[in-house]
Order: sequence, then C-alpha cells, then structure tokens
Amino acid sequence: MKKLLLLIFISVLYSQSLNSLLNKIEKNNDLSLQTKQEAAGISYVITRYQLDMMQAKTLNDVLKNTVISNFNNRYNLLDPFSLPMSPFGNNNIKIFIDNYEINSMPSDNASFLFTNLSLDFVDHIEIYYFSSADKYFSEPTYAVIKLYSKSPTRDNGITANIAESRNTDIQTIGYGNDTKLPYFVYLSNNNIKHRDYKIDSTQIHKNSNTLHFFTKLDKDKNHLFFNTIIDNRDGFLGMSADGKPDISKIKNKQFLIGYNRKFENIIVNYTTTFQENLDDFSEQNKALFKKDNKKIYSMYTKGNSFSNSLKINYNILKNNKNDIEIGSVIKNQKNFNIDYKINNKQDFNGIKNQTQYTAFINNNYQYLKNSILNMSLSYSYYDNDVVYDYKLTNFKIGNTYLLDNQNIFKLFYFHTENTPPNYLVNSIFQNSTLKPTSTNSYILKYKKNKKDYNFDITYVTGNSKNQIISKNHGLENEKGDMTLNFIDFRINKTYNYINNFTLEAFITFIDNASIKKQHQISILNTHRYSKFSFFENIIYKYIYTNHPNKGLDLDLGMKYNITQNLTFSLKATSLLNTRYENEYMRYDVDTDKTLEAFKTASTPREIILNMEYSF
Amino acid sequence: MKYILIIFIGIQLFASNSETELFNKLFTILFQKNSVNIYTKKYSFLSNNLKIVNSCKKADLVLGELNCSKPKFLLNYYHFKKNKNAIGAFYWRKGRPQLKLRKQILQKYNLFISKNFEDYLE
Repeated sequence: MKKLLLLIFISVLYSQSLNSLLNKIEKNNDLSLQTKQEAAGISYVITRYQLDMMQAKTLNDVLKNTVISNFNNRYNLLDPFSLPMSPFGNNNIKIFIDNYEINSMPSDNASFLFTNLSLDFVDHIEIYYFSSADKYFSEPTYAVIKLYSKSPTRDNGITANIAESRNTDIQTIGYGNDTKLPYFVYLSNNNIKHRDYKIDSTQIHKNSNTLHFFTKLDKDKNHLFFNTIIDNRDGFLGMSADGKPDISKIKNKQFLIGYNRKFENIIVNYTTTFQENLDDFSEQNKALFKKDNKKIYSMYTKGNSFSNSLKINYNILKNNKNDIEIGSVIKNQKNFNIDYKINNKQDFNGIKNQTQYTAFINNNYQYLKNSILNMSLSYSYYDNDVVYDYKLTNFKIGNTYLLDNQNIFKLFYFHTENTPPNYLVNSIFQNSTLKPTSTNSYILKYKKNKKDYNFDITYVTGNSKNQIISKNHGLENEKGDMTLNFIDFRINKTYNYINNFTLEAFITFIDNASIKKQHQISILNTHRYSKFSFFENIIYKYIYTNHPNKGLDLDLGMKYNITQNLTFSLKATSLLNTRYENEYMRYDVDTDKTLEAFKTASTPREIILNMEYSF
Repeated sequence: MKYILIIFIGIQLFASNSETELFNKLFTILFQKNSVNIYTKKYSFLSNNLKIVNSCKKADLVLGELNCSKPKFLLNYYHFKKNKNAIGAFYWRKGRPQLKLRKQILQKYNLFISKNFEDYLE
C-alpha cells in the first residue's frame, strides 16, 4: 500500500518535468520583476531570457522592436528622435545604467554613446515612453531607457564572448564575484566595419570602434558604479548637405562615477561625469552647407565637459492608502577648453555653465478598493550663463482602475515641458531663439493579464507647442501646434513557462511634423528545445514623410549550448530584399535643389557567429 | 486591499517556491521517501516533505557546503567543481538556473536514479 501511494505521489510530482521547473525558476526569478514600474504609457521589459534568446548585441537590436525605433542619424549615431542636420536630436530620451543617468553635456542625450556598444553587461532593459514627470525620472523627457547590469550572483565567474561577422567584431569579458563584497567587472571592444558606400565618386565610411569598461560594487546598502566609454567613429554623411564630406569624424570619451546609498526612507544618488568630445567635418569643394547665404566649408568642435548631479528621494508617507515621495535634483554642467571653429574661425557663444534645480512630488492615492489616483508634479529651473533661463513645469494626473485581478484601465493626462539641447543654444544650427517645447497629452490604456498571456491597448493623443523642427538649413520652433494620435496594440504569450511570442502593432498620425505617419507591426518569437534556442523576428515598417517608405525585415537566430559553459550561436539579420532602408536627405549647396536621398538598410545584412565561454 | 498598490507600483516579490518545488521533486525521488531530512544553514524552511534538521546525524541529505559525511547537494558552481563527492548541485550560470547530478556518487549512496534525471547526469 505504501509503495502504491509512493508511486502515485511520484507520478503527481512528475506532472511537470524538471526542465519545465527550471524554466519556471528562471522566469519567476527574473531580475526585471524587482525593478519594473507600471507605466501609464508604453513600456517594455526586455528580460534576460529575451536578450539572450534574440541575441541582442546592441541597443539597436532592442529598439527596432519598439515604438522608439532604432533610427541612426546621418552621423551614424543612434538618435531615435533625430532632427535633420543637427548632430544629436534632442534631449527627449534619457539612458540610465543601474539608476545612474548616462548624461552627455553637449547633447543632453547619451543615446549616441550606445550606438555600437555591446549589451553583454546587461541583465535586462526597461523602456518607458509617454511616462514622464515620475519620481523615478523626474527630469522632463518623453522616453527613458533603463539598462540593468548583470548580477555577480547570477553571473558568477568569468565569461568571455566573441562575435564575428563581415561587419561586426566584438570581444567582451565579464567577471562576477559573489563574495561578501559582490562586484561585477566588464570590458568590451566593439569594432564595426561597414562596407564603404559611394556617392558619385566620394567614399562614405561608417566604421566605429567603441571601448567600454564598467564595474559596480555593492556593500550593504551602498552601491558604487564606474563607467567609461571611448568611442571613435566615422561621421558618415555628417554635416555635408550633399552627403560627400572630405572629413567626417566623431570622437567621444566619457568617464562616469556614481554612488547610491539607501537609508530607511531616503535614497541618495550622486554622479560625476567627465566628457571629452571632438567633431571634425569639412568639404572644401562644394561646402558642407549654406547658412544665411554663407558657405560653411568646415566645422571643428573640441571641448570638455564636467557635470555633477545629486538626487535625493524621500518617501514621506507609505501606508495602505498613500505612497508619497518628494525629492530634488541639483545638476551642474560645465563646458571648458572649447575650441569651436567654423571655417577655421572661433565662433562659440553657447552655454559654458549651467545649473539645473528640480523639485518633485509624487503620490499614489488609493481612494477606493480598486482605484488609485496617480499624481506627480515637478518644477525645474535652469540657470545658465547665456540669456536663456528656463522654468519648466511638468505634471501628470491619472487614474488606475482595476476591474478585477486581470483587467486594468488607466486614464492619464500629462503636461511636459522640455528645453532644447544645450549645444543648440546660440549655435549656427538655430535660426531663431529656441523656446522650450510644451506638450499636453491624454493616454487611455487597457491591460489584460492572464496566466499565460497578456495584451494591452494604448491610445495617446497629444498636442505640442514650439516643437523644434528643421527649416531653411536650421532649427526653429514650429509656429503651429503639432498634434499626434497614436494607437498601440500588443499581445504577449508565454508557453512552456518561458518561451515567448510577442506581436505589437502601432499606428501614428502626426500633423505639422516631418514624419506624417508611422506604422509598424513586429513579431518576435523566442523558444528553446533541449540544448537549442531559436528566435524569429519580423518587422514591417511604414513611414510617410513627403513620400512613403516601407520595408519588411526578417532576422533569424539559433543558439547551441554545447555545454553549460560553451555556447555557439548564429544570427542572420535583414534577410529579405524588401528590408527597410533609412533615408537621408541631400541637397545641392549651390542650387538648393533636392538631390536623390541616400538610402541604407536600417539593419545591415550579415551573419554573426558568436562564441561564449564561461570559466 | 494592499494588492492594488502592489500591482500599481510594480513590485512583485519573486517566488522562490519553484526552487523548493524542484528540491521537493528531486530529493523525494532520489531517496524514495515521502519525507527527507535536510541539514542546511541556507534555509530555515523548505516544505512539509523536506524537513530541516539541525544536526548531521539526523540528516538524509546535506544542502550546501557543510562538514558532514551524508550525501551532499551543493548550491554553488565552484563548490560543485571542487567537491567531487557531492551528489549534485543547483546553481546559476550565465544567468540561467542549472541542475547537475553525479551518477557515480548517486550510485555510491544507493540513491534512485529516475529516467527523468538523464539530461542532468554527469
């Protein structure tokens, strides 16, 4: 009888295989579950499993599946909200590593530093869009990308990785030490060699080399962080209007030290950043571009910047009904040793010193059993040595309503104000004084969570005043309002505990902007079979500027875990001839006539062979 | 009442239940017993089937790196590589949970090797 009972007991136990259980452990212990925030707008959590399965090498690979997209501008820099001709789009995108903002003084947008940076140090990624004025990212912004580094516990020991292809040559090494003083050290060397392009007889290059050193150390509630990025690259078409520069080079070095300390109700976050930047563009034959009938043959910028930022969050009340947090940020940025030459003459009138003060309050008030009122308000004051002193107010008010455990409704109103990037102020790029952009938007979201799948629908309607646009070879504020209507639908299905299928479709209509319509459908399927892992990624993209541009991209990948320490993988990108191509506008400097746009594949076609070994 | 705030803030306490489920399944089958006595300093409670005992003498199995002559199951990759007498280990490697069992050592202790363990034997 006892044996029979034992047999029944064992058969019940084996209703789930050990493999399924291991998958379940991996999913239930995913570190993103500890960090992700419920967002009013669009949010993505790219888990360790997904990054690993889709063989994401750079942020480009991740962003192309999102609303933000992976647009690389005419300088070959990752710059999703790019403005034509300006080196870096705007400051409406912020990048964090482990809650430290990777700031860049010239552009206030460090996304360009991540253009070809390997993601091998990253455990998971969170992306928030239309979720500003929040306690976690109090500075005005539309999009936030948060990278979370690997944990020394999960990635104990040394792991070396080599990725090779016609274009890609990346070596990384990481070391996690899980002792009483846990730390993680990481070094990567990223060489990207694109084929050379030709416009008429001019060779166009977009090669780059990026070195990255990263380390973090945890002791009780103290967290120390060090990040260095050294990036040297060809500037691609750069500032050349006809896309035929003689010289087009960009160099950046950034050193960042961060310290974070948690007290009972207070979090203190301090970062100090030093950056060295060099941009060199020239075209002696036709000139780079023309500004106010003056031909610009060369632009040379060299400078250093030093910034210090202190952020304090104080949770003043947390009970069943209220969660109130207040905080402040003080950020000082200095530009020095500036060598800014236009046609070999010094011409710098921009910001040399700026201090930014921000105070914010955030409250989630549960006024009914199934309803929460979400409110936040921030006020920022920018004090700089040029005439512009910005005073910005950002706020949101919204309601989260839970019909039951599975159905969530959200209705939010956002008011966002953004400054133009620092480097544009008093620069040759601006046609007139640039005013801050203010945006009012309404967001309606429905989310359904089931055990194995979830889906959500989000509708956003927004209206922007003083949007920065590119006109007559310079930037200015749009006189009319820019309106945006956006619908996003996403379904996510999990099978065998961990395998994942995601379908996302969005449509966008914008008035008074260079992009009038943008639609995208993306499918990402990731699955494991024994020692093999596979992914399939299909993206259909349609963008209408003054003409339609569309494409269908297909990426496939396979990974073979030979042993638990040795892995080989293959990844093939842009397999279809119908792939999406980015368009870069060109015009003749002498006649102002528009030339045929230069097109390159959004993601280059290549087969990447990857080998990873853990010691 | 509290669940709504928890959902909103997005704090999800990650369940270690699945780890216990794995130990439960593994140890009860290996020892062919409904209830297995575990000697460990790592956990204070596992499950009703896995009873924590405070001495090596009373234990069927040692969980973790402890000085005891009973079958040892480790929780660290490097400890497992070093200790060739361990019956197996559960640890994280390259961000993934891993399970390993040593056939010879399992046989030495006359433990039951199910067909379902084959993928994890070395």
